[in-house]
Amino acid sequence: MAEAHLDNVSKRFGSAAAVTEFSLTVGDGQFVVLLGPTGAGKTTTLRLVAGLETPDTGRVWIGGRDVSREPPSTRDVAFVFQQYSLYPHLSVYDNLAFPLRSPARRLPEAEVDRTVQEVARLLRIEAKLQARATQLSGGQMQRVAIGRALVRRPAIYLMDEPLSSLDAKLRAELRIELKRIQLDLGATILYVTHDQTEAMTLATHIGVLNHGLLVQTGTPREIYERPADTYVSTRLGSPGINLLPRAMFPDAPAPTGAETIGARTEHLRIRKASNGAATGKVTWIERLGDQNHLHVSVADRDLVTLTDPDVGVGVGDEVSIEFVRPLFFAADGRRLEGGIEIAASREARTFMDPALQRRLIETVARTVIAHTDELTALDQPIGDGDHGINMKRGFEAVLADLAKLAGQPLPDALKSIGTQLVMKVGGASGPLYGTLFLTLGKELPASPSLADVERAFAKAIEAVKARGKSDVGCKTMLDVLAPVQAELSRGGADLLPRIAAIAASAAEATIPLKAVRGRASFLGDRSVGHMDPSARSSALMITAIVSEFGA
Amino acid sequence: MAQIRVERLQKSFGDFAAVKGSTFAVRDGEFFCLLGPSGCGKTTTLRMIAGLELPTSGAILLDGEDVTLKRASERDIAMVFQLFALYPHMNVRRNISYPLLNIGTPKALIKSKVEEAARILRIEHLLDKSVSGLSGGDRQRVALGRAIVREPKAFMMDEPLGALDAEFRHVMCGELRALHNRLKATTVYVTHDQLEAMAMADTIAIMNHGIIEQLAPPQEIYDTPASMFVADFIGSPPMNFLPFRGSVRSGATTIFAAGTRIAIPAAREDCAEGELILGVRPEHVLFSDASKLKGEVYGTEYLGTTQIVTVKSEKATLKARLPADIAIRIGEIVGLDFKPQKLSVFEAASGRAIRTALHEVSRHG
Repeated sequence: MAEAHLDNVSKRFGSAAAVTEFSLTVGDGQFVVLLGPTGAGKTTTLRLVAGLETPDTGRVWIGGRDVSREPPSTRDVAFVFQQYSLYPHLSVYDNLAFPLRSPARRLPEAEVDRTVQEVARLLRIEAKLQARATQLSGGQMQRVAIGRALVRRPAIYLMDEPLSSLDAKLRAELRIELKRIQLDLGATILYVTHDQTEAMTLATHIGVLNHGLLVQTGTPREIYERPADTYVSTRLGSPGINLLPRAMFPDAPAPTGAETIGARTEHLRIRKASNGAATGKVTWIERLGDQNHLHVSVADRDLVTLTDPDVGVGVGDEVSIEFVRPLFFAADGRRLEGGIEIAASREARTFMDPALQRRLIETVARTVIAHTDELTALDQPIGDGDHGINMKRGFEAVLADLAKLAGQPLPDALKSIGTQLVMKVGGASGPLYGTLFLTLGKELPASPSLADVERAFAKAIEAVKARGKSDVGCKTMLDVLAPVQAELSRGGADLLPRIAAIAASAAEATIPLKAVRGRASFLGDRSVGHMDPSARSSALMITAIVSEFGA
Repeated sequence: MAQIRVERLQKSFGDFAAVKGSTFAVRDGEFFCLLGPSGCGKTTTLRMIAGLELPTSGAILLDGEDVTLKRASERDIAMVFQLFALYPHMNVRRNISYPLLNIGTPKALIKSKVEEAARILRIEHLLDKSVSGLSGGDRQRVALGRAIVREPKAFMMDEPLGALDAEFRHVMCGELRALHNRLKATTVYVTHDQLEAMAMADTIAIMNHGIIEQLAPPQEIYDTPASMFVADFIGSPPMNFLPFRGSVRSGATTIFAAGTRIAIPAAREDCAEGELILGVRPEHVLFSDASKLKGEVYGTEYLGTTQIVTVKSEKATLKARLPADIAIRIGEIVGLDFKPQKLSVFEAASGRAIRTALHEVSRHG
């Protein structure tokens, strides 16, 4: 298998641009799915890689070789078409063996047999090998067509809606088989579809096309959770995303410049309205069995969301609508990232989106883990020498939970982290850091303002103090946290650099901190100029957070 | 608008019995779906109601009047085949007017009826446009307009959305249902697509081999399937089947399957020792480390809000629908648990569902 690469490729048919300045890399072993409506340029792209079309400009690379001017036969690709094209007069076996028996290959017949049997097993058509192609059902024919591509080991497989002619059940079955086969073979696949379920379930990476342009590439989760714009946001998700004017919900916190709120089911909390708090009315419930689509009319808009079949909301009910960290889009359709505006008023609410939250948690966890050895070295002369490994264990548990944590409202995520740290870090530091995060989780709203952060931080410091009255590590931790708290209450535009400076000063192991001096009496001369490991780990977390916000 | 009654309706083509004695009623203003795989007899049933096919035996009553032997043109039923069949050389207004022009309706009346239909369909602005330039959705509305102006007693629709791609089909389902909510016209709708039926119908008759296997509102069909066929046909992914050997006594609240005791809704009938099937919807499968029923994760399919996890156990391959944010790795060994109050039990040989407390919840709730 190999990698394929389209470099700035354009192709026109007469006056119609089919693909425009298209660049895409299909990495070795990747399953890349091009998703878009009819006419978006998906099939043209596939045919350009196959050599069935020649680019007007740009280059096509396969396995590190420029194949832009090569015919299909020398490109080492295998193509599976939408309509199975088998030789009707041949048996399934001979159809599968056909590509291997071509004069150019001259494989020994034993080798042919081994490969055919292997592929038949993968596709579960062993029992049909002797049947004539015409005796097969549609699903079996398409399996054979895919099998005919699989018997070869080309640089890349190109598949053009290979499942679209099958019925829903068979499609679902072949989907999961195809994914298994791709993983087993480590195959590189470029696959075209307009079916979002196929794209999400098969792809390692999705490329979303619109009018011949590649609008966004990313993992299915990235495309779903962080669409580049409103167009991409509508391509994935069932029921589709609700795009609503921001102006309809003036009270919802949103980043500057947000014109449109993008709300998927998981961003909406819909409850029966109590005493006049209604924002909408249920107009229709589509009962699809496992998934009930609730239609709510808000002003003159229709909003569709999933609802639990057992939830007690009926047609005609007045409901209140609450957004749980939805997506936001600017006037030009681009999605706006969450972010903090330090210079804005202290009461301005920060919009915390899952992506930002994910980055924050991930950076903090990775920073601490990356300093395991250093924290261990700091702990050795004064403690059990396990601070590094303990913290690593705790934050590895956090990383394992990252997807879930990113998706939760901020308070819930902080509480989950706190619980993980209490359980996994253990020792004295576990409960201390646990208390810190649990208190922040309890005190912070989902979209905190700077003032909220400051208040929560103050409470957290109190809680840590109460918890660790007799613990020296606690005092040293507070020696980092307390000055940060002081800066938070001062605020101002240069808040971040000031906090970074505090964390950095704590990071200088040669600068003796006050608490370390306090500890000196207990530790004797050894600890003079020595930094406490929990002061260092606190400082690391602060540095990580500041660097994320700075970015 | 009208009520339709179908009594012991049968239709044979030579030796082949297409419809084997269907009895059902379509209430006035109801959206009624005939759902089933190809060859199940749904279209034949529809064509008999419309008068395009004569039944071998049985009766069809329209508002109490026996129309079994009446010609299609005398039944006052509008048949909507493929919603896109329009006259390409006529504009929208003329396409909609056509059925009225044919029967010599006065011009002024045609004008007002066409405009009324256009208003209901929200295509007033298109009346003087050519149909050739219209979008798929608008073409469909025009075709519907042509049926509406006749003010028939009922609409018969035979897979009208079959030619559309999945995304657009769902949009059109919403439109058709919204239109139905405005018109309140008795509608019999034939489809093989369970999602269309679930999305639009007040009542679904699910057919297999010429027999109605279950007649109920969508949610009831989904929650309490009367047979394994229905359980398998409705739902995506379909219901999981876990075969086991055992007996069920009335009042029993557990079964012994896959080497473990599993709680079920209280049985309401006896069932002798034999091959039975436990039916579990994917969303009622839970992962639980404590469970004795173990399986290996074979595949995961991320769907945004949820994910489908395929688990292979010794006895069966099961699919579970779980929230998308739970991290699950292929090859992982997981314990499986089921939501007890939601499970179905079937007789393997007949496929029939054994009556349990589940059926009562659905009826009364």
